[in-house]
Amino acid sequence: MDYAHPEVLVSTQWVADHQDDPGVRILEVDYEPESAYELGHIRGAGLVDWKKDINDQLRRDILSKAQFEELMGRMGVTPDTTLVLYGDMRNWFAAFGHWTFKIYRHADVRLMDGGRRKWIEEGREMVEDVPSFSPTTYTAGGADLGLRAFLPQVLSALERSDVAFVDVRSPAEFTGEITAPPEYANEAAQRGGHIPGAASIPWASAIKDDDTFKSADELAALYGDKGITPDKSVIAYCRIGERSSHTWFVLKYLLGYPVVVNYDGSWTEFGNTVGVPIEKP
Amino acid sequence: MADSKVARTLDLTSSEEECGDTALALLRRTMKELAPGEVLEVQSTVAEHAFVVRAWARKTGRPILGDRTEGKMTTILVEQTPDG
Repeated sequence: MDYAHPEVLVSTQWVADHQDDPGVRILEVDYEPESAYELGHIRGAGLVDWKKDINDQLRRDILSKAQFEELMGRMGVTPDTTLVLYGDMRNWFAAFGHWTFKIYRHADVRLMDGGRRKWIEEGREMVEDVPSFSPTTYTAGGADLGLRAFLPQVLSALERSDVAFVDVRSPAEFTGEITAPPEYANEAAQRGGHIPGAASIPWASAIKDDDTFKSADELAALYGDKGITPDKSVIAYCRIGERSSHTWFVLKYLLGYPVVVNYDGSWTEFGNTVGVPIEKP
Repeated sequence: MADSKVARTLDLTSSEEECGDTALALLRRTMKELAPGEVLEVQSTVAEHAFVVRAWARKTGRPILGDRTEGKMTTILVEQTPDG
C-alpha cells in the first residue's frame, strides 16, 4: 500500500535537489524562531513565524485571507509556486502551516519528511543568511472551511456515529492528569480529560525514530485498529491544534481519508467551555 | 574533555517529545542558574539539539569547553559568562 497522495511529502534529498529551483519556495515554520531559524536554516528558506505570521494578533484565530495574501506576497510566492514546509518542534508547526495554507487553497503545498531534525541529523548545510524575495501580489481563494472544525460542529458531532474523534495529545493529557505543562500556563484548561468517545492516538505514533512518517500500511493499522477509519468523518484535536495538524496531514494525505478536519480550538477551548460533556477515566 | 568545573548536567534528549519548552528554552533556563565560570554539561542523542547548543553558545559568546560524540550521545560543555 502506497501513500494516497505521495506528492505532498518530499524527502530531505528532494529539498536539497530543489534548493535553487525558482518554482519552489522553501519555508521554515517555527514556533520559536530564535531557537531554530535564527540559529541556522536551509539555504534559501524563508521564515514563517507561527505566532506572528500564521495567527491573528488580536482574535484567537488563524491568519485572515488578507494576511495570508500579504504573507505569500512577502515570500515572493505566486499561486503556481510549490511550497515546501519544514520546521522546529518536530514539524508540528509546519504541519499547521500546511493546514492553514490549504484552507486558503494554495494548490501545491508539501511537507519535508522528518523536518528540521532530520535535515540536521543528516549533516546537511545550514546557513544564517536570510534570503530576500521579490514581493508578489498574491490573490488567495476563499477559505476552505471544510478543513476546520469549530466548537458548534464538535458538539453536534458528539451525537453522530459517523464521526470519530482522535485525540493526539499525550496519555497524561488524555486522562486529564495534566491539561498543559507548567511552562505553558496560557494553554491550561479548567477541566482535564477528553472529548467523549475520542480515541487516544498520540501524534508521535505516526512517525519513526528519525521523525519521518511510518509506512501507509503501518499507519492504516495504527488508526484503523482504534476505530479511526475512512468511512467516518474524522475530527483531530490536541491542545491548540498544532500536533493535531500533524495527524490531520497523515489521515488526509498519507491515508487519503475523505473527510478529515482539524479542531484547532482543541482542549484549550473544549476544556474551558461551560457545560460541555467530558470523559475522564 | 575536562569536567572538573561541571556544575550541572542537562539531558535534552527527551525534550520536545510533547508540546512543552523548546530545547533552547530549557538550556537558557538552566544556564541562568549557573554562576559565571561554572560549566553546564549538555547531553542529547538528537543532533538538532547539539546544533542548537553550539549555535546558541557561539552567538551569545559562551565558550564551549568540550564537544564529543560517543555513539549517538553528544556531550557539550558550555561555560557561563559574567553577563549570563
